[in-house]
Amino acid sequence: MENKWEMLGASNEDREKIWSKNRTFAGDVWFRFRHKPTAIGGLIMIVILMLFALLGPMFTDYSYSTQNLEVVNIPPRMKVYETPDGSGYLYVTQALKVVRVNKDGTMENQLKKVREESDSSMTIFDCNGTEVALYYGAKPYVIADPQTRVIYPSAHVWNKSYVLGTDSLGRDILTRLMYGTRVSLMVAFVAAAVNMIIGILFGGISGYAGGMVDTVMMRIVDIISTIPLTLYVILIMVYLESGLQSIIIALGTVYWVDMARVVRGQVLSLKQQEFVMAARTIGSSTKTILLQHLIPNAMGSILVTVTMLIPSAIFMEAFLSYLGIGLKPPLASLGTMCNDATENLRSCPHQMFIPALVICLIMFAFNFVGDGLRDALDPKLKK
Amino acid sequence: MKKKLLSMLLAVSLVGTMLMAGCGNKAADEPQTIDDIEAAPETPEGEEPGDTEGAGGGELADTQEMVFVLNNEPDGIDPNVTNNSFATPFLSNCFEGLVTYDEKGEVVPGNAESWESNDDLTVFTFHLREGLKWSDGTALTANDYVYSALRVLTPETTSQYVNMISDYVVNGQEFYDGTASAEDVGIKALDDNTLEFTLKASCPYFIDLVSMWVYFPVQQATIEANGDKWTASAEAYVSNGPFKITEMNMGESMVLEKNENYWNAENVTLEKLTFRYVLDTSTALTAYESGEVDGVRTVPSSDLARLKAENAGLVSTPNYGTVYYDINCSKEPYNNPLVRKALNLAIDREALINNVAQVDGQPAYSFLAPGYVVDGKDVTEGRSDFGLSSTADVEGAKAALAEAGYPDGEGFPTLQLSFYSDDNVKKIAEAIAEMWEKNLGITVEVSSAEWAVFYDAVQSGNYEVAAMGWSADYVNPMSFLPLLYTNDVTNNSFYSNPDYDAIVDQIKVEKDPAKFAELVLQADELVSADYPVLGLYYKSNTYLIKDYIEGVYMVSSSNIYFRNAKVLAH
Repeated sequence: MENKWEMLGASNEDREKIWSKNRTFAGDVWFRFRHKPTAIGGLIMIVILMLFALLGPMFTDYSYSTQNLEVVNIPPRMKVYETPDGSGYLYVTQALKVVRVNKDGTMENQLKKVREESDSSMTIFDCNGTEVALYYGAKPYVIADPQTRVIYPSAHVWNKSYVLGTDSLGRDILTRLMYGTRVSLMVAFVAAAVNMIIGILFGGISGYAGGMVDTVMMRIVDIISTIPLTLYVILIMVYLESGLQSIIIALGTVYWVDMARVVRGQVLSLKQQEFVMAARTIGSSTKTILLQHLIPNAMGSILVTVTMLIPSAIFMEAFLSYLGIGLKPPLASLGTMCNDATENLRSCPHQMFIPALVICLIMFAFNFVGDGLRDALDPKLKK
Repeated sequence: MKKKLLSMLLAVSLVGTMLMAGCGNKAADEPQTIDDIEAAPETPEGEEPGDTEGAGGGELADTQEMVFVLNNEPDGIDPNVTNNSFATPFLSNCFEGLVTYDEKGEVVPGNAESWESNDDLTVFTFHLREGLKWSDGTALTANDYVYSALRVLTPETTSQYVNMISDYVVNGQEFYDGTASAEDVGIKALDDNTLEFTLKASCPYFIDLVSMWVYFPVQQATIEANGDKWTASAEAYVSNGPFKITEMNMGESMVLEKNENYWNAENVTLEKLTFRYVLDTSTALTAYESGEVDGVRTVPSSDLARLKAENAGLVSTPNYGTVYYDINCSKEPYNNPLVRKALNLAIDREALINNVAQVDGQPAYSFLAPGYVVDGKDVTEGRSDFGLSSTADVEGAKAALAEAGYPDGEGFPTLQLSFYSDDNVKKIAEAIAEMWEKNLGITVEVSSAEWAVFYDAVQSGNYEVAAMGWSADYVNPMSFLPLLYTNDVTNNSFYSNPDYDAIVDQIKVEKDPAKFAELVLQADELVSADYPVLGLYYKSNTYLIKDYIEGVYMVSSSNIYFRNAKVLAH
């Protein structure tokens, strides 16, 4: 290239060539989505939670309803005292009973109470033929030799039988957590699917038809959205009896109003554009125009609305279960687990903390994904 | 959504902090013996034991006021209408009947100074104290008692305890049905201070009966002026007891103040008693432990052991009551005693009491609680255990179910177990459901409802097995026996046994205490061998009260009295 000023060839091909890398719309969205750390973090979190909920129960020895009344309210990490013969540990429960723990951290049964010595604030238990005393006169409650009053050496061990501890009926919290997460995710996805179908159709028809039809349909949406949601859901649950299907029906029938509004707004602006005019000119039916042209163009905002709806549906389910009008026991959901734990909040805070943490994680994950999607789907933010 | 997230975050950090606080006190040098712990300076949390000794001096505090937390709101506070036990704190402190109970749980004169009866025990005459007054200062006479009793017997009042009068008083039922006039009813005011009850048949326990609030007087003037609304405002709620309501904040609190017009007002020390509603028991406990309130009616069961060990003011009193499950004896397959026996045998009552409910309770094999003493001997002493034991008998239960035609639970329909919304009741129901599923091989479906909805279904027989409990209204076995009497309003098991009915009819009129006790035992043995209910445990009442408050007492019918309460300097 001696002469930098020589004219290039002016073929048609060269003129139309796009020099940057060619990407489809979906590829473009994915590119922007995966370059947002919070969004990709949220996505990974959702996948992990789904695996936990769907595959987890295969790896536990318990079902969500298996009770072991010998070991109620046991925390994940225990302060234990050695048995007199040193073969295992003893753990003092919040109900002032003594449970035997093996050296490896697996739980055994309660010790048998021999007698009460209230004068010296001691309860005597029988441990393999030797007497041990539980002293409750002052905190901390300790296990000691009843004669010499020497406290047995203490240690901290992790609970190996129940990794996250047990609830007030001796059920494994980890297993219940898996089922609870499963319920939450199921509610979320079913509610989201129902919302999408009803919301898109309702909003699409309303926006495309316009005029009187639009006015009437939107007033219906207004009326539905003025009904206090909680009250309405409670009424439905009373009518249909509590259970998973009533939660889904209740959420499905009201949550679509936001979606309908979003879709209607999109359709209203899109239907003025030339491609719709063109489609109409060549004689496409209303159905084709709506489903083939308008909805796909509005998909960006629809996806964002759905991902934002999912956490609020999950939260609503947890909230309803927390109020005690959700699932029928012994089924577990994150909300019912929190509800069961409130009574024990002072003595066993872990029972509340663990399901609450999982609710937080799910909410964070879906919100981050929704946030990331919104940014990724917005072409104005293209770098 | 942002707001929700923020609040979730706050909640998490809060719980997190609590966890930290829980793990925080890891002392570097662990105590080696119990004596080390005893010698160690008290942590600020452990209630100072020295304080109790100081309080023993009996110095009164300057302000005689206290706050007591109630954990359930009553469905009404009209003594003529309600039978709701949540109303007791109001009714037993705002009102006083002819007789009342003292701290030992014995009947003592209330509005009536003395009483006598004829030899036949069919006519009871009460002599009211001179100068009794309503809280608004107007005079209270025997005619007020007659008015209230007739009000109870009027169908429009919808009194839930109407049978407590109509079953006993001459022409009571007839007046209720509209076939007798008010003059015919056997309740008469002979003069302003003399009241006479004429009964259909001799009733040895009538004095126990008139201690019930359905026999309390209500003021005609305020009811005529305000109608049903008389219990809805402090001004209209005229009462005759040691306290009167001065402030009603619905769903929040009720303020009671000393009633200067009470006949024994000079012996009432407490000036102001606030009943605050805190429905959540653990919230109430937090308020109690931080010293915000002075007493709590219900204690979360998981904290009982700890509170007892800490001497935090836990009071446990025996309660003449039983916690049991009703089995619908009119429904297939529960009309088969063998099925009911199997259900009874498959329950591990010891585990329920110690590990689930975590209460002080004795396992119950019958609906009749111990606690009624005749000649120094409990009437239930020496009764059979009906083949039940405190732990589950899985083999026996399976055998009974097989004998009933359902080997290993095959072909047994899904059992519907209903309970009412309450934390403890829910835990027990879930545990029982699991025991039945595991031990009998049947499927159990549990469902809960609010008390009103639940009780409605139970009363109309629209249930299979339902959580229930019964606290005696008056301390006499006769407050239990009608529970299984054919067609009695309280017979929610729909059990019917003519032999049992015949014995109960005999008990009702038996004047000789020894024979009475014998018949009661006989009736119990007869009926409990048929397993019409699923006994769980005999109740005891626990409540919290700070050690600087003296004189609050609860009797075995669960009435809590504050009239002798004193707030000591603290």
